[in-house]
Order: sequence, then C-alpha cells, then structure tokens
Amino acid sequence: MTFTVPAEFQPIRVRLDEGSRPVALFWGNVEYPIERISNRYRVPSGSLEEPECHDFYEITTSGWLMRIYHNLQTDEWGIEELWD
Amino acid sequence: MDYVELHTHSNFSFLDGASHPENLLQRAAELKHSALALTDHDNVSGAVRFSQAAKEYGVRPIFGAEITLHDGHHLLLLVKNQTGWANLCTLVTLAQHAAPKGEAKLPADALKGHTDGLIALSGCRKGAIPAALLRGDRRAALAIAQRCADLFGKENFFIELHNHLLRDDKSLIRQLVLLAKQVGVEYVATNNVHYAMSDGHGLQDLLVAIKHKLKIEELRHLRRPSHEYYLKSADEMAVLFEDYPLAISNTVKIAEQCRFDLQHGIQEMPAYPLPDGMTAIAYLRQLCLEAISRRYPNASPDLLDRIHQRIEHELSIIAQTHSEHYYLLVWGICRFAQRQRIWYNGRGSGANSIVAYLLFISPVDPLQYNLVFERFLSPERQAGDFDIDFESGRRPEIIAYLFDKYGVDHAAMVANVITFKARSSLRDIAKRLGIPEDAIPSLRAELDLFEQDIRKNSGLAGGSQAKGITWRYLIDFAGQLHAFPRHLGQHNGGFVITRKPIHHYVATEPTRMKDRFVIQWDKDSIGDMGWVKVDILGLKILDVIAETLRRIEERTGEQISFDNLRYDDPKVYAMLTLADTIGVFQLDSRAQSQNLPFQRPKKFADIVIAISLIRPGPIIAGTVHAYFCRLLGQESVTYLHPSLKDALADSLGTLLWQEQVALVAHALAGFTLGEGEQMRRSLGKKYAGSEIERWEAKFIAGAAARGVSDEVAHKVFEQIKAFGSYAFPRAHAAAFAVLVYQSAWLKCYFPADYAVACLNNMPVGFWGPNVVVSDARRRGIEILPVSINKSGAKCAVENGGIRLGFNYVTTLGDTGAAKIEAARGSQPFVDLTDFYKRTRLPESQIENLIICGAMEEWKVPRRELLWRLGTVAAQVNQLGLVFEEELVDLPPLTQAEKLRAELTVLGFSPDDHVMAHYRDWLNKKGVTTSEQLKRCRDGQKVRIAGVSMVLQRPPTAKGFAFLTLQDEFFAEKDAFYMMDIIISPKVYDAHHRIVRKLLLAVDGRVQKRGNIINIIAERIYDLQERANASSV
Repeated sequence: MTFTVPAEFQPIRVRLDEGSRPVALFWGNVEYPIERISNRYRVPSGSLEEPECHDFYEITTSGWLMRIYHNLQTDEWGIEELWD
Repeated sequence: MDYVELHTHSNFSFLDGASHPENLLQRAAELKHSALALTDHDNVSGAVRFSQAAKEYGVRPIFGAEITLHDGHHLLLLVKNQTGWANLCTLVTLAQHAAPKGEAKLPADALKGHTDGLIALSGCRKGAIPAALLRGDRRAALAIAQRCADLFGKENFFIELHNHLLRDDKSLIRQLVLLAKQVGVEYVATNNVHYAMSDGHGLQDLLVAIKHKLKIEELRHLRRPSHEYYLKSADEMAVLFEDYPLAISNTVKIAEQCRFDLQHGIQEMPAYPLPDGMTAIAYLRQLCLEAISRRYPNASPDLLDRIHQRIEHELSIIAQTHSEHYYLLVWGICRFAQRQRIWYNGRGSGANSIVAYLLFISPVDPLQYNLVFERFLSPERQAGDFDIDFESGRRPEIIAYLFDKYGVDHAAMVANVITFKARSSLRDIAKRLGIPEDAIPSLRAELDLFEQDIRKNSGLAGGSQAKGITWRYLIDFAGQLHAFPRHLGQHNGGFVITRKPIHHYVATEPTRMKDRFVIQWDKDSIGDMGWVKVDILGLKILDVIAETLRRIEERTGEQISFDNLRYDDPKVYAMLTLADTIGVFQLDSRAQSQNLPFQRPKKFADIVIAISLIRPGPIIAGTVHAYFCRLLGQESVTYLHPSLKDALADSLGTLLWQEQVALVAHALAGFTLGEGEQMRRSLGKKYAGSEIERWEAKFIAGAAARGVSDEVAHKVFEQIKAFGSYAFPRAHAAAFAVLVYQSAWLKCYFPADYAVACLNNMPVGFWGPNVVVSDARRRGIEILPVSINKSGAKCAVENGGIRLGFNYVTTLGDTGAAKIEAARGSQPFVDLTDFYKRTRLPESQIENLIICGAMEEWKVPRRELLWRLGTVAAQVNQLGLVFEEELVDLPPLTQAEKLRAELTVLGFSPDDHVMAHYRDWLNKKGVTTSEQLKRCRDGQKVRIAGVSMVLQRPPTAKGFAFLTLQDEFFAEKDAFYMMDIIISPKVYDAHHRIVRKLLLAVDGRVQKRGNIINIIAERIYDLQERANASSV
C-alpha cells in the first residue's frame, strides 16, 4: 500500500556518489542503502519571481520502495511516498 | 564520448524557439560539438544565417526541419545532400501550402517520392510513434514505424529518444528502444533543444504565452514540462542515456552522413530567349551599342571611348558573376513597361551601371556622376539587385507579367522577417507577465531609458520586492526579445525568379493572393546567399507624373517627353531655393524644405545632396548639421584624417552616401572596396550580433597598421556604425533626383495639372490635400467646388482652375462617383428629385454632396436641400405618392457652419480657409498669425493657432514631436508661412489627447535660426473646444 509521508517526517539526509547520485539516505538515525534508482525526473514549479525545482527519485531500499525528492533551490532532501 | 545535437529549434521556430541561431552555434562551439542541426518547425528561414554563423564558430551545420504531418504529428527530417535539400524544401512547401497561414500540414502521401537524401527521426512526443505509445497503442506505433522505415529505408530512419527528466521519460525510452529493435532500425538520442543555455526556459515560456495570448501562469499544459530543453554537453547527454550508449554514438554517425551546405552564388536564372547563335553577353553588348546614339546624342570621340571602355568593363564583370540573364530579365520587364506606357524608374545601386543606363533600366548616366560599377556588382560582392519603381496603380500589371512569363512556380516574393522591437514589445510582455492592465498604458511613456526607468516604475508599481522582480523581468525579456523573429511577412517588392521551380532551392509559403508565393528567406538571407532579386516597387510620384503628362496631352495636345529634358532650368532651381516644394518628390517634407533656402540648389548634383541628407543614417551620424555649417562657412572643411579627403570631399568632409563607407574603410584601414561594402552591409543588418565587434577589431587593427591613432580610428568607426542604419547609395540618390527634378519641372510649368494629379493620387508626399489645395490657391489657381453636373470621379483642370472631383466627397467612393457619372450622361441634373431618381444614391451620400456644396448651382440653400431630401426620398420610394410639402422657414448656413461642414466632408474648404472665420476672436485672444511670426524675435513668447497639417514623431527624434499648423495667411502670400512647432516629450505627454485634434492653438517661444522659425511648444489647446465655449 502507498503511504504518504507527513511533512514533519519528510526531511532526510543523503549520501551521494561522484556523479551526485544518491547512494544512501538517513531517516531518523537509520541508514537505508539505495539498491536501485528506477526512475529520476525533474519538476519545475513556483513562479518567475520565486522559482522552485525538485528532482524526484524512485528508489529501492531494503524492504521499501520510496519516492524521495531534492529541492534544488534549498538543497533539502525528503521522502514523499513509501510503498511496501 | 562525442555527441551531436540533431534536433534544435532556433527562434525561427517562431514563438517557440528561444535562441538566435548564432547563440546556439556559439554554445555548440563552447561544448566542443563538431556539428549542430537546425530543425525549425516547418521552415528553413534561419538556414542562411545558420550556415554563415556556423563558419564563424567552426561548427559544421546540418540542415533540417521538423515537419508537421496532416494529422498534426511531427517528423524530424535531416538533409544528407543536395537532393535531400531540394526534397526538404519541397516537403516544407507542400506542408505550408496545405494549411492556413501560420500553420503547416503535410498532406498524407506527400512524403512518397520526396525522401531521397533525407534522414528521418521519429520526432518529439508529438511524433506519431511516441504519441501512439503514450496512449498505449503499441500496434499503431509499430505500423507507423514500419511505414517510415519503408519510406526512408531502414538505414535512414531512426527512433528518436528524449530524456528531459520527465516522470515517464524512462518508460517511454524503454518502449521506443524495444520498438526499434522489433522494426530493425536504430535509435538515436536528441534533446529537442529550444534554447541555448539552461536559463533560457523563462524566455521560451514567454514566447509560448505570446503565441497563445495567455499569461505565463495560465499556460498550464502548453508550457514545457521541464527546464531541460537546452543544448547539453556530451557528458550530460551520456549520463541521461547511460543505459543506451548507442543512442549517443548514433548522433555522430548520422552527422557524418549529413554533409550538405548551402552554396553561395547567384541562383540559376531562366535563360532569356536570344537571337540565333548569340550569347547573352554578345546580345547585351549589341543592345548597348545600339542605344549609345539615343542616350549620348552628342558624344565627343573622347566620351565615346570612355563609354565603350565602360561597357566592356561592366560586361566582363557581368560575365564573371553570371549575371547576364539577370540583366536581360530586368530589361524584359522594363520593355514590357515601355510597351504598356507604364512609368518606371530604376534606382538603387543598379544605377551605377552604364549597361543599365543604356538598356533604359536606370535614368542615371554613371559616367556623369563618376559612379563606381563595383558598388553594384563585383567578383567580391557578387550580384546586386535592381530596384525599379513603377506607377503604383499599375504595379499589378508588372507582377502579372512576371508570373505569366516565368510561371507561378518560378517566381516568388522575398520574405520579410518581422521581428520584435524592445520598446514596442513591452506592452505584450507586460501582459504575459501579469503586470496589471492599469499599469500598462503608461509603460512606453514612462520607460524612456530602460535601466533608470525600471527602478522608477517598480516603485510606481507598488514597490514590493516581488513586483520589482516582475518589472525587472519585463526589461530583461524586452532586451532579449529585441530583433527576435516573430513571423514571416512579405518584402514590399522583392521577387526572385529561378530556372527550376523555386521549391527546389528554398521552401515557399502561400500569400493571401491566389498563386502568389513568398520564399522563406528574407533580403538579408538572399544577399548572403549571393542570390539576386528584382525589386518591383510602387511609387506614387510616378502616378502623379504620368497623370500630369496625360492630362497636359489631353488638354493641350502637347506630348511632353523627358528624354530631352535638361536638368539645368534656373526657374526650377529658383523655385526649389524658395522651398516652394509642396508636392515635389522627396523635397516637400518639413525637414527637407527647411534646408533648401540654406543650400540654395543650383544644379542637379545639389539635388542629389539635398535628398541624401535627410536620412536616418546621416542624421544619427551628425552629418546634416556639420554639412550646413561647412556649406555656410561657419565651420571649415576638415577631415578626421588626411587620408579621408578623397572619399569625403564631395560631401564637404561628411559621411553622406553608402559608397563612402567602403572608400573610408579603404583609405583609413586598408580594406578592399569589397570588404568595406561587406562591413557596411553587416553593420546595417537587423541582427548584426557579434559581427560588429569583429569588423571593429579589423578596422582598428587595419587603421593602426597605417599609423592612424586609436582615437581617430574609433571615432571614424563610430560614425560608420551610426551611419549604417540607413543612408542612400549615391547612384540611388541620383536616380531619385531625376524624379525630383521632373516633378519640380511639372509643378513649375504646369501647376494646375500637377496639383490635380497630386490630389488624385493621395497620399503622395508629405502633405495632405488641404495643403495642396492651399498651395494651388496661393499660385492664383481657382479651386472650384464639387459639382454634381461638372465634376468627374477625379479632380480635373477646368478653365485654368481645379475642379474638385467626387473622390473628395466622404463616403461616396468609386461606386457612388460612377453612379453619378453614368446617370448624368450628357443630361445635367435639374433638381434634387431628378438627381435622386436617376442616381438612387443612399441618402447619407446625397447629404454629403449637399453639405459640400455640390448642388449649389440650383441656387437652393444647403439647409433647405437637406430638409427636402427626406421628402424626396419618401416620395420616390413610395410609388410616387404625392406628399404635401411642409414649408419651414430655414435660415441659411452661416459661413462658419459652411466651412466646418466642408471641412468634415471634403477635408478642406474649396473657397475659404477655416481659420479666417475665427480670426476676429483669435485677434482678441492675442494670437499671432503665420505672417506676423516671421517678424517675431528669437525667444519671444507667442500664441499661435491653425489647422493641424502634419504631426510626426520620428524614431530618430528621442521622443520629440513635430507639428505643423497652417492659418489663412499661408495661402495669400508669395512664400510659405507654415507654423512649425517642436513638442518636447514632456509637453507631448501632457497634451497627448489634444495634440491630434484638427484645430489647435499653441503657446510657446520662438526659436529663430536664420530664416527658419520654430515654436517650442509649452501649452497646447483644442481650438474648436475653446471657440465653442466662447460661442464663436
């Protein structure tokens, strides 16, 4: 089933490889190594005055399928959805 | 890994692509791409610029287009070779011709037979194959792919993959790759580029918003879904397609096959029919030799020698540049015009040619004015164009001749690329950015200087940071959009003619006229390609001259020929010196005529200078002021460098003619004359881009090598740059000067016939009919009112006076005039009932005839006729029932009412000046007349009043406007007392609602410069409103 992560629980930290691709994420105190990135896409939003852009990654970790995002303006990462 | 972008839209994908071709190539060079394809939507308009710039940036150009198919799907085509180019142009032509203007739809089956030399890519998401996959119809996708593979051959058809980081891109790529494998074709990556740099998406959104007339925020699905449509590096593309390295390497494989480039040189011209066994050059020689005795009837042996030498010199260059059939083609057009008695005048740089003079293409003897042939044609410059003016009313006959003779597939108009202008696009951009409507009307008035005013306006708009940013975008976008192509229009007269059907060489589009086509290249592209066009232009002054001569012949039996006209009549020059030039070609404008009393022209060469001075090029370069200071001895004739003396001596050391740019560059910087001409052309282009810097560097270096100081070299280059915007070639000015003299001569000796011809061909020249009528009256020519029994459809000379024609009665039109003439026959109308019964004109038209006095000869007051009209109409229309006429005692129109009524219906009063009516009242108000104005001192405060003749705001005048008023004294003296008013931007803005009214009063100060008087406006009044308020 799909689980939408509430905003207050979304923030994560991410470890990147040399090509700036995420290889592991830290949610709370738990590290989740990323086994596979099945899709990556970019969604521009906001306005001319206040542009925003997010990169989304659909990833597989141990036991979870996740959609995580990267806010390119603020460099913040978060989890948007989980599937079990 | 190497990568070549094969799918690129420049801004010639109108209102979609957001980068100039040059910027795309510059970026490709920075990214070390070896080649770049240009694939604009359904057109090849940017191809020549792309080809030229590709050489500059060292990137190999690949040509193509994204074609819209009959069902709206896209297909990308790339050109491998010459056959492919011809097929691409044919397909674009077919697509353009099968859809309304601005759209394209390639008919089904049109691809068949036109795929040789082309490589096809399956296209963007709007391609038939991706679209089928996106809607889940894999079977359709497969069928389409197989059909394309059959049409183009498997080796020439590729499945196109995009990755713009959209959510479903990866999945679509997987499906497309599987499909390619199933069909047995290869796949290739492209980025469907719409802008050069990653930050170009904002401008691209704006263009789409302009296209769809929406605000950017309203675009929704019309907006590109990501910001990834920029030209990417090989590394970026390799990452995006890391699972499909073949998609990247195939870009290079395809690029290697696309080796076509546009070939510079004159187009293949239709072969002109020649006498048996004769070459085109020999035929041209024969025609020239036969014409010598007519053109040079009293030539001395020495002159004959020079003529023969010049002919041979020109013929050798004509042969070298393969222009012989072009000359014969233009000669054929002129011969047709002569046979049909259509007046024409060859001008432009073609007037540098003695062959053109002897073929009666141009009226200018280049030997007399020492004109250099190479300005027109040289092995370096290659071909030049002939510009020929025809009577504008008969121009369609010339165009029909061209199409009849060469066929509709072989003759087409040249395009005009309509571009954005920074200032004029502000309003459009503001709307798309969502700037409030009420802020928009003040935009242009407020934004005089971009950078300063943006700050001011952001403050006016509320001062919030967000609004400030929006205003900043407005300015940035306006700057970026400047010179951006917006759509294709038509050149006002340029035709190209080709031996094979035109679509073998360049794509065409239909025009609004049936069987009239426009090619997708503009005049700059044509010039850069080395093609030639013929400019078939309409010129009203030729209609005036032709009509004047015809009327003189009809009236007097005298057939005047200009063949033997000597251009030295002192009476004509005396008239010009007095600035008595209303209706005279080129010299009747306010700016031109003000200079004539200073210049005091005495010979033909003076006319050439007079008409060359008032052009944007010399004005911006500061030539005009300097020339007159030198002419009047207020300043000595000096040169920025001694080496410039030969080039500039004829114009007293100032830069006046186009030819002088090449001569200056030659003298100061060591350019060849051909290079100098190339530089002048480059600097005058709409999009000169980096060419300016390149020429400047070359110019400065060349000058330095000759020991010229950096400061002088820069000063001269700046003058050339300012001058580049627009100036006459000397030969062109000489050809125009012929018409100036001819029109002045006719005005001088046949003023009534000439004024009639002017009135019948309005608009002609600078002034309206009211000024022409006043001018005629000033010369003692009686102005006879419109008469239902004496007037014709047009104005005519009657017993030495001018009888106004029905063409001046508002709303009557040609049909109404023809009805009156037909009904009248030889039997005059006897009363209103008779007139109504026989003409059956609408009552509104008869009212206008009554109001303007056309029925005065019945001696019935106009007000009474208007009253009777209703009864007459009712009687006639209701089966002849007799109504008892109600007798009402109506007062006749007062003189003021009569004048105002005539002004409304005719635009002027035939027998009095409207200002005369106000004079008593104006005198009480202390208004100075035009006649008194000449006695006012410099700086004196005055109030003047008159009828508004002309209001101008030329783009070169930095927001200043020029208004000319006329009062009744204008028409009573030997000279002109038009009142010229200069309105500053501030005063204009304060009075912009009033300044276009017909009757105006102005408070201001006198500015006197010699005999020239201007009023510097301080306040402007609506005279009619003031008079009404005072019950005048």
